[in-house]
Amino acid sequence: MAGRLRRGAAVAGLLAVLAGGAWWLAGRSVGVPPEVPNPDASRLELLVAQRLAEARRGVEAEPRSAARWGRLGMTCDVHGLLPEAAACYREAEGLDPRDFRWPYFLSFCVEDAREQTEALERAAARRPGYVPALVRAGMGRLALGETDAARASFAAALARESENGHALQGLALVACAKEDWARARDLLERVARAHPGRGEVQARLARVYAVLGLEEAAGRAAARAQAARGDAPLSDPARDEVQAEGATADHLVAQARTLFEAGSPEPALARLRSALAARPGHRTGRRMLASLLARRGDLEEADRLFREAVAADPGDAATRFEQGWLLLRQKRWAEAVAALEAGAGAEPPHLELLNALAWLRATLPEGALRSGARAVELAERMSRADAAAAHWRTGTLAAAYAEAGRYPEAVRTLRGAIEKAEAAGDAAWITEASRRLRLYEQGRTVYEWP
Amino acid sequence: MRAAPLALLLALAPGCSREGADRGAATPPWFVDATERAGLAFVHDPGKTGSFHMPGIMGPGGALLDVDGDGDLDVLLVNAQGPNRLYRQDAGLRFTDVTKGSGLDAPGFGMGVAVGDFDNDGRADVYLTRNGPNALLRNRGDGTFEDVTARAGVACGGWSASAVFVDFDGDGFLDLFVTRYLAFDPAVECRDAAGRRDYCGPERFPGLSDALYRNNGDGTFTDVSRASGIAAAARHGLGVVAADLTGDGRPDLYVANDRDPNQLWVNRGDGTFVDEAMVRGAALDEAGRAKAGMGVACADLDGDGRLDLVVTNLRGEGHTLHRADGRGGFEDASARAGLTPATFRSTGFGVAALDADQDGRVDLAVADGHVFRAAPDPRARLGPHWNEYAQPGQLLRNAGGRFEDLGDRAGALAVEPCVGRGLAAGDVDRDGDLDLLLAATAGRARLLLNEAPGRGHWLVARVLDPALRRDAYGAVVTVVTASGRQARLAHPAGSYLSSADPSVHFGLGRDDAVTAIEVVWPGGKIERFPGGPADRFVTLRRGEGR
Repeated sequence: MAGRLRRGAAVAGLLAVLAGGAWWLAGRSVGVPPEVPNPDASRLELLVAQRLAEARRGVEAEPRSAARWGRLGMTCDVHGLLPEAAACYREAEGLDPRDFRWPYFLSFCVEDAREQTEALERAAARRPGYVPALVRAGMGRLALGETDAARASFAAALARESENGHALQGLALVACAKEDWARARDLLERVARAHPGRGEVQARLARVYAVLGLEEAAGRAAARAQAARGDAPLSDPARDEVQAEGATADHLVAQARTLFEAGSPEPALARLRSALAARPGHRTGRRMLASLLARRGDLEEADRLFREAVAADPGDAATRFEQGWLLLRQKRWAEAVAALEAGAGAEPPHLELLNALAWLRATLPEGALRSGARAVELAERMSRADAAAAHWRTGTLAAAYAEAGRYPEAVRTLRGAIEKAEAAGDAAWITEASRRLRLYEQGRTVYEWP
Repeated sequence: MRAAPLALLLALAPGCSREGADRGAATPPWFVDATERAGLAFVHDPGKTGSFHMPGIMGPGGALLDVDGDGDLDVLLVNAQGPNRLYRQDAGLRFTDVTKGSGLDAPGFGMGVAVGDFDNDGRADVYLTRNGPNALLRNRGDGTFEDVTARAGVACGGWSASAVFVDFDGDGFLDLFVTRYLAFDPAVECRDAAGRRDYCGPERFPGLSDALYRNNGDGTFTDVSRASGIAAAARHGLGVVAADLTGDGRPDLYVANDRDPNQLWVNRGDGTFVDEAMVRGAALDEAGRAKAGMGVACADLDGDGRLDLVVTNLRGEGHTLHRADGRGGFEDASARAGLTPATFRSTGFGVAALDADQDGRVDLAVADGHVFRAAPDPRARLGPHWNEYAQPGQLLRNAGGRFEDLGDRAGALAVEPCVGRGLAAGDVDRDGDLDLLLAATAGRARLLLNEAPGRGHWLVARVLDPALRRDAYGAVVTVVTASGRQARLAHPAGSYLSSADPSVHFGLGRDDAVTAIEVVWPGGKIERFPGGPADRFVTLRRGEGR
């Protein structure tokens, strides 16, 4: 009996080995050289076509190099050529199964939710310390309705980073799915304390409070969610590596923004110049280049670029807005107001421009530039276009009313703005607004240089 | 001798599975294309190909409506650059193009259509939404329509999307709610990640506030958008349904917004509305994110007697099932119901909640089509430009709590990819099951007849209010059978830019009889009607029940 069992086990083991081999063979397409993806470059920007051709040549030179395949994958990936990118990443993973990047990047290029999640889990297994892979894998399992697997993934992320907001939020979502509302509330409140501006956390809190019967708290959380300025993206250095492969004018401008925000203005300027060489009419690129030059003190070239931009597209309110700010920084108040006025009639309205101009018209110390009636007109137009206006915009409307001598409306409007600011937790703004409110209550206003 | 075991193992290896490749090949398709034989020959004209004019890729819609009051469904298809088309159904599922002289082919960049008898004369009137001023067309009853927009004061303006007739103030006259999308600027040029021209996303333009018009009962409307609170928010509105979602007897409004939180406008009964979507759990997905809401359907999808909401979204998001939780709120049940993985790769627009196989569980049909460039589906036959935006439609079978994508078994809905937009369900051939009208960008509209294998018994009910001489929009009909209870909302609006058959349809599975029928009329009054055998059409008139 025991002998039969042992023979049976041996046969089963052999079959398993054969099955594994067959699986591997099926996956590797033995004997068939992989085809190097060759996307249609006819309508791509020149820099993109060049970058793709360069990456392709790398693969053709070293067809057994995972790094070459991965590079081509990244070049396809960042330019939205996802099927081609997926093929490259699969090949790279086959050639070098130890590098977590290939299954990780693959997960961004496949459309099947399960395949995506499994790729993330392979990536997380190969580099257990990479928290973004764990968090994304958890979200993937959650989307598949597999809450226990999701919880394990979030817990693994928290084992690495105990206060990772995204992992904590993931655990809260698992608690919601299991209708453990008290635990969901505790977890979400923990995230909200660390990241008060995260709209998606406040939105979930609003619902959890409502389910728990805490209606007032639910209302406050909903207001905070509405006032939030977007969600916090997951910090993901590996994906930044892919973004760095981007070669369109849009990518170069985005890279320039990142570089500038990271305190590297010179490489940012170089990227912007390359972007404008690739697409001379790139609005944002030209505007950013002008702004960066102005900050660096190259006012002449900045002025020239703004003038070119305005000549090419007189209706571009965003350019007028940036130009206005440049002039304000130079204390060229009248020219700044004129530049902003030139963009004030744009349809659809540029809300930041209207806000800035209304504020200047209401508060500049130079009387010739002030106009209460114009400030009200601008601020009311802004409010009509943005009915759920943030508190600082409502504050501008109050300032306009005050300059127009409509103090009761100014007081009422500013009180409303302060309530919004309280819901959003903007203490610094409330302090300043309260000072103004006291003046408005006395029928007075205040003039200040910006 | 050695090759055989290896071949066997290879055949068993998971990588060699044929599942998905030919699934359902042995079973007949659930929907068959009857467009040509029915005589429908409409092709949507979105404008110049390659111009990347955003309004061109967002339409069109269509309607199944009984224009001539003969009891069968006619077809209205909305066009952008070309004329709309009205097809009258004659005997034997043959349609005749009766557009000429009907008044429905007036110029205008058409988007969608809402249907409702706004003057209570017993005839279906039409509201056409456009990128530009909309049009209200009164049905004269002789095959022609009178443009009464100016007198009614409902032109709206801007870029409108879906609309719905709803008697929000309970005065017996249908009011009008219109979603508006965004302030489009044709000068804005967008590109994809590879630097190629592409259609813009909604974030490039500011959203617009929606509009609400109160019917004065004398052929005119009053714009109460601001007074009602509806205009307090400017978002990218696309889809809308009207139903009592809070259980107070008053119709509420649920709006699907593109990359903005969806809105649940709760009717306070005093002419005002308040958006409670955030606290009621219907604004965002379970992670607290705003998805790209396009179309919306309202139906009892889990058989608990409460109305749930389904919102179609963008590729990579999955469609959302907001399941009514019985506490006045909604929970995102998309993952648990299998909807997220089943729809993850789809960009969905029109959505119809229908019991296609009549097993007593409500399935979902979805019109899909990209809004940004994607790898072309090899089966697409729309030319190089539109092939990059075409997708197969989906039929998601409700397998008892989980939805499964039938793939090609859906038949004509799935096997011919198109840039699917509007979708409306109705029993076009009067055989007791629900058929589909599919409208597509830059493609032909399609009439898809339901031939689902093994369909169960059925009951179709039209709910009428004789005092108002029209369908009782917003009534909820419940049938009781040996297997349990099922509820349906009687309202043609929903989906995306489209209007469906206002009758309610029940799949009864093996139950060959209905024990009782209950109607909750608008306003909350309940009446009970006797049951009877299955497989028939019934008309339920307000005041004739107990």
